[in-house]
Amino acid sequence: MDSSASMWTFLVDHLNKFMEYTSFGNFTFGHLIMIIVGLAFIYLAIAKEYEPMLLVPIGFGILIGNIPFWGAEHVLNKDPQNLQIGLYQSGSVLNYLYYGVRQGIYPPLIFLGIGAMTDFSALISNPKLILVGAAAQLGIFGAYAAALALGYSPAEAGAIGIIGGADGPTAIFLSSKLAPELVGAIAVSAYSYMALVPVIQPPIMRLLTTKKERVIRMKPPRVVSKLEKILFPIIGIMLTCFIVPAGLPLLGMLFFGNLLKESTVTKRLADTAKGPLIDIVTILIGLTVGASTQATTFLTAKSVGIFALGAFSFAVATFGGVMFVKIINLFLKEGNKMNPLIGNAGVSAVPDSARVSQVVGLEYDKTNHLLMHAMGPNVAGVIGSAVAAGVLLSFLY
Amino acid sequence: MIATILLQTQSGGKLISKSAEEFGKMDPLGVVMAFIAMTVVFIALILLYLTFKYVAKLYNVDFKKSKKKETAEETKPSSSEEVSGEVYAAIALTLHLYRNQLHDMEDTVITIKKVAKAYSPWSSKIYGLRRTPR
Repeated sequence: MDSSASMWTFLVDHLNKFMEYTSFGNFTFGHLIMIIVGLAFIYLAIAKEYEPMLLVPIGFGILIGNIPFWGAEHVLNKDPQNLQIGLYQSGSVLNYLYYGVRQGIYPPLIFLGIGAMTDFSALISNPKLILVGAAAQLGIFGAYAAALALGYSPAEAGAIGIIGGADGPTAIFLSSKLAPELVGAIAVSAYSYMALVPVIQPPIMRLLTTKKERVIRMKPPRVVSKLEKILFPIIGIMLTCFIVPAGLPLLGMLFFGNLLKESTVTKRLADTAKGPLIDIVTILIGLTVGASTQATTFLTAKSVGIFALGAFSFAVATFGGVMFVKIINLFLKEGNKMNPLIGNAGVSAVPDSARVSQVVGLEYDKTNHLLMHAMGPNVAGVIGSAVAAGVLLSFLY
Repeated sequence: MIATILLQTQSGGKLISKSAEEFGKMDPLGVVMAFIAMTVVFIALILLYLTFKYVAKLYNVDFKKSKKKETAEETKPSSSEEVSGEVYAAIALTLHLYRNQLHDMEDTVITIKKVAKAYSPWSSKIYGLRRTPR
């Protein structure tokens, strides 16, 4: 009788201990919310095809990061209670993979791939469009000022502001340097709003333009020579990085990738950069950024603020781009004017914001194709946001 | 940089940038930052704009002539009724090329390439002759 009672107690004790180790024993309401967010990302990616390459890894990463387990708070390597499971736990596989985010290794590699797949012809054929990409960076500094007003520290405000650049790798790169504890929230916010560009931008574009402006026809882009395409990355890196060397990791890789493509003699390298390399890094960055959004660290008032400021920065960036085109048009002769509907493309969500220009343009004139023109400010926005990140890094790091 | 590392060490590893804090005190509204940073971004991209504006002019000497011809031809269609199938084909081709990331100046000559080979005695006539010609 005694032995069966002690056996029972033994079993109950160990079942209780096992229960403590399961996710059910460590589950909180916060984890539930984050799992719902992760599932929503996966749904948007698969059902609505909103940035699936990013939202699937991030969404699944959110699920991984929010499976609760015992001892998540034991993160130090020497701690005997560190089970080396979670992303923040030293020595875990996820922690090693997250190193690329923490140290800003993945974003430049992604930029290498972006450079290798970007055709700057639209920009070279009509260099005026470069300036639209600069104007749209207003969103970054609008959000920076708003973040300061809301009580964020200057470094945090800089990291949050870069969401307005609409460039995920740049946002991760800068926030990993300025506010490492906010990387998850900033990256998720940036990618979420990039996916929502077709929802955010059109109402602002319609609000700021007249019917007459929306049907402006732009001159077709001229054919760009191979030499010009080769010169672009070489001159581009010299001019931008001599002014803002802090942007070197991003701009250097972007222009290097583009030279690999345009030289046409390094096709294999360009193919690797824009194919397998960028795919591998996208998987790693998406998954680890998603996993970094653990409910205990992510569900804070700061994260809510970051989401609000992210939306604000996208709106200001769109405003900046569209208004800049309208102002420039005041100085251009009839026939040379630009359609203000390409102004939104200055935010560097490539190619979604250019696609928005095309779609909105077609609503008002079915024969006016703005896509090729919008690609100019769109790729200029990539350069502009990297330069802006360099400026913020120089001042705030 | 050393100051930043020292500051990090003193604050138990948490990054507190001294320059960021100082900048925040000097510019609590972020207006100065916005002004300076936008100016720098514009300067960098204006230089790029000017360079490529003049590179195009220098490189494409005959560009203006061809441009006049092109624009004269392209200003003809003004309404949806006048747009020919060729225009749609050209737009479709442009989009196709763009999506496939192809160059518009590709070298299309892929056959009849002269191949230079190193000298090999195996095919040499001199070793195939039984008598040396006089």
